[in-house]
Amino acid sequence: MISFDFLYFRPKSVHEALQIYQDLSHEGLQAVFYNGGTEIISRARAGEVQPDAVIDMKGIADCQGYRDEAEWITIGAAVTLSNITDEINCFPLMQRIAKEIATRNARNKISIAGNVLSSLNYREALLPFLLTDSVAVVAGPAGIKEENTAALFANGSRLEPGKLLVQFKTEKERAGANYFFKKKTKQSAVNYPIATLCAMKREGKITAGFSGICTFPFKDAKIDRILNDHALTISARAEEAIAHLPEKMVNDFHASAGYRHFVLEQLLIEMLEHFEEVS
Amino acid sequence: MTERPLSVVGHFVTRVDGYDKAYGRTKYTADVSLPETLHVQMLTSPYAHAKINHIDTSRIWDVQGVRAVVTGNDFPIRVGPLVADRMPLAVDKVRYYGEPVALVIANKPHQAKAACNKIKVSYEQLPVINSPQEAMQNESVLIHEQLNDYKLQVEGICAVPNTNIANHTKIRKGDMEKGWKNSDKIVEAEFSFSPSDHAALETRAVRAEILPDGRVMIYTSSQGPFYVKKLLSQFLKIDEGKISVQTSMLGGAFGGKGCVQLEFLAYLASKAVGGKMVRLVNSREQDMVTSPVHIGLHAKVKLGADSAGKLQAASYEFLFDGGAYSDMGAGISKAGAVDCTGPYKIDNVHCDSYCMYTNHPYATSFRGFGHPEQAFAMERTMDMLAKELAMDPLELRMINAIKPGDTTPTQVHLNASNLGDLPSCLRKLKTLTDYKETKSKITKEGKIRTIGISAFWKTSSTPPNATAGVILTFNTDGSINLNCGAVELGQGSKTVLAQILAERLQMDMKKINVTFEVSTEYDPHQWKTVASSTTYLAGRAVLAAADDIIRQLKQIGSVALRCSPDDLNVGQRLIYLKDSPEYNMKIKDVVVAYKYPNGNSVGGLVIGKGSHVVRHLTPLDPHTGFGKPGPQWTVGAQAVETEYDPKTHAYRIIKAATVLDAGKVINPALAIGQMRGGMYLGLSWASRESFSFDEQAIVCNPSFRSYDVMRIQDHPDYLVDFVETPLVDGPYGARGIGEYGVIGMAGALANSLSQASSCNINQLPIIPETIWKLTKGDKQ
Repeated sequence: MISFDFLYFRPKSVHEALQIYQDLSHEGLQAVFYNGGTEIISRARAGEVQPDAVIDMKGIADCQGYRDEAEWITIGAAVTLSNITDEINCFPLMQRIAKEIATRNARNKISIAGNVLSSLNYREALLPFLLTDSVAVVAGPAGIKEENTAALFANGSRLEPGKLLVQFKTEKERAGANYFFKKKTKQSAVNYPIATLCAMKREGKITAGFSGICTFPFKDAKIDRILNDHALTISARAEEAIAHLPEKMVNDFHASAGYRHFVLEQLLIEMLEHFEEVS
Repeated sequence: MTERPLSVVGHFVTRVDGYDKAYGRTKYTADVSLPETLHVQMLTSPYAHAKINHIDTSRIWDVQGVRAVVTGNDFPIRVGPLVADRMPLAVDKVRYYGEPVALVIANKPHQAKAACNKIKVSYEQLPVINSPQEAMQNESVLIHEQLNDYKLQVEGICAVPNTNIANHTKIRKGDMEKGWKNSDKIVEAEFSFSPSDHAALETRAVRAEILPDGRVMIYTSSQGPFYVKKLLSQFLKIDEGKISVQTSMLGGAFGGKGCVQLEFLAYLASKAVGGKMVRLVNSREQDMVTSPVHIGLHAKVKLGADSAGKLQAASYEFLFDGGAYSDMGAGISKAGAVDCTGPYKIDNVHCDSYCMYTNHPYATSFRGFGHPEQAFAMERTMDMLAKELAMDPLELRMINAIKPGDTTPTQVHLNASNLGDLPSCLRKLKTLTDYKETKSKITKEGKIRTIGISAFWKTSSTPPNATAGVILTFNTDGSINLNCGAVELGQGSKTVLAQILAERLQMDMKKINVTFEVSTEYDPHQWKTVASSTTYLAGRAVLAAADDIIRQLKQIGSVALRCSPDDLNVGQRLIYLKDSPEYNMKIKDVVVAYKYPNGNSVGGLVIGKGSHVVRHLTPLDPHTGFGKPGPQWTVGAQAVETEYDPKTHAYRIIKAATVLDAGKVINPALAIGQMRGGMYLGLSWASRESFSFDEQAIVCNPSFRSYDVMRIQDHPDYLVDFVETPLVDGPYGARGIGEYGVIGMAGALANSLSQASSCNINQLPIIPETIWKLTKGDKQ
């Protein structure tokens, strides 16, 4: 149960949503963009957030649905993870990752934007967009802009307040690339990852994405260089990659940093061996 | 009784609550909402141990709809079932994370919650006790400074003032020196696990109202409505007859609803608003940490055996993590001690079992009551001993299995009736699981498949005067109403009791109406619905009531049929002459008075009553533990097969098996279901369930997002079989079976994985990281 009152808006367009946000800001009210509510409702219930207003994105056409065009796939930010697992077959890595987030009931509610912009560490739905160098379409006071996903979310950043994630655009050829994915949890499959590793191989090059290891999901050019350095053995590459993580490993009640290290090393070796066998 | 084959008992009967549950029609306590009910919200402590300097409630009145606020000083009386050590709302200091500090009562739930957030409590943090070992070693931090002044509620609980010991139970049997001398092999090990949750689907809920004439009406999701009445009467100083407690069906309990906690709070809240009806429903988070939890343990076990594998001596030290208040924890530490050896003949036994106060959420009963905990430590040590002796673990258990003629740790003499037949259970387990010594098999993928086994026993820690009663009334069509104080919590008791009645009266199950709701106003007293005791206690009461009915029917029948009552039989809804059944009359023509053809009536209403009380139980001798702690033992054997990946330390549970000496299986489907449910509970606990505490003893995972439980895809295949050695005084020979499926699971799982990983897994939960740490330790 949420114990405080808040305003609720359901705009029909991106423009209207931003206008509502600005109007509320001028009145000194704090608004949040809202989709499935799995995070806002549970955090509001726990007293961790108390927004004055929620602006529901579900009525905005541009944020909904997905388009499969000649070279690009466009996925609306309000699309749910269940929509992805049920429908978006041309992006198998995305489907695979979505399928291992939470439970079916929760996935019916959790949106792409909700997961990518989550306050938690994991945000696994960002990984396929990072690996495919997707374009993030972001609306803000200065208009609608197409931004590089990796740059936009570098080092755990989220969107500036007042900006609205509208959709992701992914090159179709990249979306269909060969991939590796493995999520490791403390015990039950349905849980937060203590380590998620996904990777794609295109034109002979591996690029890898990580979640659960550090406080944010990431891909890292330096790590990718190490993983592709064939002068090193597979286990040396794994070890070296771990030495270059952007942050020290998370050490919490889900898993100790030492155990995460053990798990990640195995995942990296498994991934490298997988691609070696495939090629 | 004439010998005839059983027609209802021993047969599958659809559970009487099945359809309503399947269709979602069952109403649980929180499903009922009446107009004008006010809502209560608890403010709970953000610290595990802190002084309360000041509580400022002045700002709650800014919130619309607020009616009243209650803090600890409004009722500074200590309550509790065994040691009265807990104020319903904290006074002066809080002792665990999540402890209730204040209540706000408002028109709407959200108003009460908003107002709670406006209460300012000034705390001063105190050093915390974060484990039972710390509680024992660190005497500078006392959780209860005034333990000496606390009132002991029952005989046989020994709290030690100026320590953190809430109970100390001693077992001294035989001659330890001799036992160790006769031992060729001695193994020693330590075991530990943190507290965890019951995780019942239905969170605890209560409504309370004080009527203008002073009567207190409580509607609660409790396993012990009569116990609620008793404790409220005692601590609130209200006559028992003025308190009515009503309980509908429970959505799972697992022992966690045997405590009396929210009922005190709801009463205080109702009192604060002039007796109006109030409603208090735990959120999931509150249900996990504010209300009591499943106990934790740190144990040391030492076993000695001769070269043939015969156990010679055993010593135990149990430090139970009872949390901030003793509740049933003190009793659990006693129950673990009286059965410390498990189902094995050991002549020399030494046990010190303590319930320790810590700054963790406090513990109450959990299915198995000290036995899943004790059995984990003992069954692991048995496997370590088997390894030391180079003996098959099942063989070691077979040669030490306790038998009629042996005595328990508290020196109760055992016979076939009060014990059952463990060797038969072990033999059946072997067949059931296709067990051929615990040799691991290696699969094509390099995974290791291993069967781990365990054996268990348990007696019910009932008080020496535990009772149950039954009242039977008739409808004019001759159908019967069965009223008793047993609570239906998913275990199927009401179905089993109806079966026992149908069998005794030779009546169709369809003609028996069972009342699911329990009311202390019109149902006969029952101790509680706990301790696997309902089939035995209430079942015996049903038989007594049925016999009472039969006696009355024969009496009236003898008048109408002009014969002696001894000439008559009752069955198939008829009263008939034994030798000439064609001379008969319908029961329905008798039960609301028999009418002669001329209109004269005799007999009045036929009302059956019956009750049963446990007998010959005694408190334990404080120095040796000598005494009879429970009415009978139930024994069994279990196995778990796992597939372990030595590379990642991940594993899958493939099979879980139970063979139980049930005495007599009254309803096979329900009994199998009980065993499966028990195995599930035990495996979920052993493989993943545990509260994580930070350095300040704050619970890190008080929600299902982070508190892991076994999900449907993690279930193994469940195998169940029974042995039937009758309990002579049980209904149709039945023993208590409710808790047993859970007891040996942790031990069997740990034995399987210890064998597979070649390390001693002596802590729970067994997650891949647990095994990784142990194997890493081996390498270093």
